[in-house]
Amino acid sequence: MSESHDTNGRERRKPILLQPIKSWLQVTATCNMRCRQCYGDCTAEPQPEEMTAAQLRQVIDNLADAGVVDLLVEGGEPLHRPDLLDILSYATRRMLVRLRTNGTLLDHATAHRLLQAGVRNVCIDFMGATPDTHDWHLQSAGAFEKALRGLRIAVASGFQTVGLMIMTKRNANELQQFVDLMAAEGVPRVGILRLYPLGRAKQHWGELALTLEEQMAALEQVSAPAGVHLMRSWHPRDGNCCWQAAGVDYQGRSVGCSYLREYVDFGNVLEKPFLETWNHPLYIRLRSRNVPDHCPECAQTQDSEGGCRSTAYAFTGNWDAPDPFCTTTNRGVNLAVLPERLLSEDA
Amino acid sequence: MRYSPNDSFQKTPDIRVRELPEWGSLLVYTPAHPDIHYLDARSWLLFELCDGRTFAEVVDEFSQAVPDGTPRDDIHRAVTEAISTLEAKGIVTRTAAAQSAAA
Repeated sequence: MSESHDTNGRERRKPILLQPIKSWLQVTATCNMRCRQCYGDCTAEPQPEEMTAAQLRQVIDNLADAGVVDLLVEGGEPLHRPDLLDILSYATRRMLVRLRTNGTLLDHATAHRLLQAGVRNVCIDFMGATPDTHDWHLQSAGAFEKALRGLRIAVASGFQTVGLMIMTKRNANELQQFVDLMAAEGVPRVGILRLYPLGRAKQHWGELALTLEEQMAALEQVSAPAGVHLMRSWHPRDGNCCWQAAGVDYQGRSVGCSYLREYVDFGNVLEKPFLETWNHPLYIRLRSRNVPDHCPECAQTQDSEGGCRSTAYAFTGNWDAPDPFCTTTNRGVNLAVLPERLLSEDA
Repeated sequence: MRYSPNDSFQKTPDIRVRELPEWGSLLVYTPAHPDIHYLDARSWLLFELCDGRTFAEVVDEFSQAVPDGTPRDDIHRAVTEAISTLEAKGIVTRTAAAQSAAA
C-alpha cells in the first residue's frame, strides 16, 4: 500500500500490486473491417512483425510466470486470426481468458470451439444501436446485423457476454437505445467507453469526437434497465487504472494499458522477462498514481488518482497531469480538437 | 451443508493459484469452470488446510488461528460455510467418509 488523502483529509491507502494480475494481449493487428475508430491501423493481411503462434505462446508463458491470471485478448479482430483457437486453448490452461471481438465472425461453430478452448467471457463491440450508425463506423454494410447475430449466438451459447460501445459524435444520441438493446438481448453488463486518440481514430477525430460537455450531456440521458450493470468511466468514476495495467501488443511490446500503446514502450517481452519491463522507470511512475492536481471525488470512488493516463498525456503531453475527460479537471481542454502534436507524430 | 468429521478434503487438481501477499489474499483460477475466485485470508488458510485432512482435523487446526474463547460451534459453522463455498466453486474436492474408509 502507499498513502494518499481522501476528500476529508484523512489518510487513504492506495492498493498496490507487486506483480500484475491482469493483462491485455493483442493477438493480431489484422481485421475483417476497416473502422473509422480503429485504435491501430488494422489491415486484412498481417504485418511482418506480427507475432507467430509460437511467439504468442512464449508471451503467454511469460505473462503467466509474472503472475497474470486474467487475460483480455484483443485485436485487430482476434477471430480473424486463423490459429486463434490454438492460442486460446494454450492460454486457458493458466489464465481466465476474455475475448474482445467485433462479433461479425462469431458463428455457432466458432462459439462451440471457443467453449471447447475454455473461453467463457466475450466482449462484443458495437458502434451504434442501428445498422446505419454502426455500419458507418465500420465502413461495412451489414456489419451491424452480423455483430448482432454474433451477440445472440454468444448469449445463447452461455458466454458471459459484455456489450461495449465507444461514444462518438455519430452514436451519442443512441446510447440509451444501445443499452436497451443489450438488455433486451439478455446482456447483463454494458459499457460505454470514451474515444481515444489512437491509430486511425486520430485521422477521423473531427468527425468522431465530442466536447466533454457534449459527452456529459449524452451520458446524463442514459439509465440502466433493471438487471443491467452499466459501466462508464467519466466523472465521478474516472479511474487511473495504470497501477494494475499490463499489456502486450501484436509485436511483443510491453505497453501497460492498451490505450498507452502509442505513447510508451517498456521493452519487448520476446527479448526479456515481462517483469523486467514491469520495472521500467516510466511504468513504475505511472503505477504510482501520483497526480497532485487530481479530482478528489474520482480518487475516492476509484481508489486511484488522476484519471486515465492515456488521455491525460495525449491532451497535455504531461504524464502527471489530471485527466481532461473529468469535469473537475478538464480545465478548458477541448476534447473535440486533437493536439497538433499527436497528428504531427504520425506524419 | 453438513460434513462428517471423517470427510476429507483436497485441493482440486489443475487449478492455478496466484498469491497476493500484498493484499493478504489468494486468487484461484478454475479452468474446468473458467472463473477467478478471490479468497480472503481466512478462506486462504482453510484452502491450505485442505491437503487430505479430515473435516475434524481442519476444524482442530483452524481453531488455533481464531481468538481464544471462540465457541466451538462458531468455529465449526465458519469452517463448514467456508469449505462448502470452496467446494461449490470447484476449488477443493471432498472425499466422503465412507469412500475414505474404503480407499
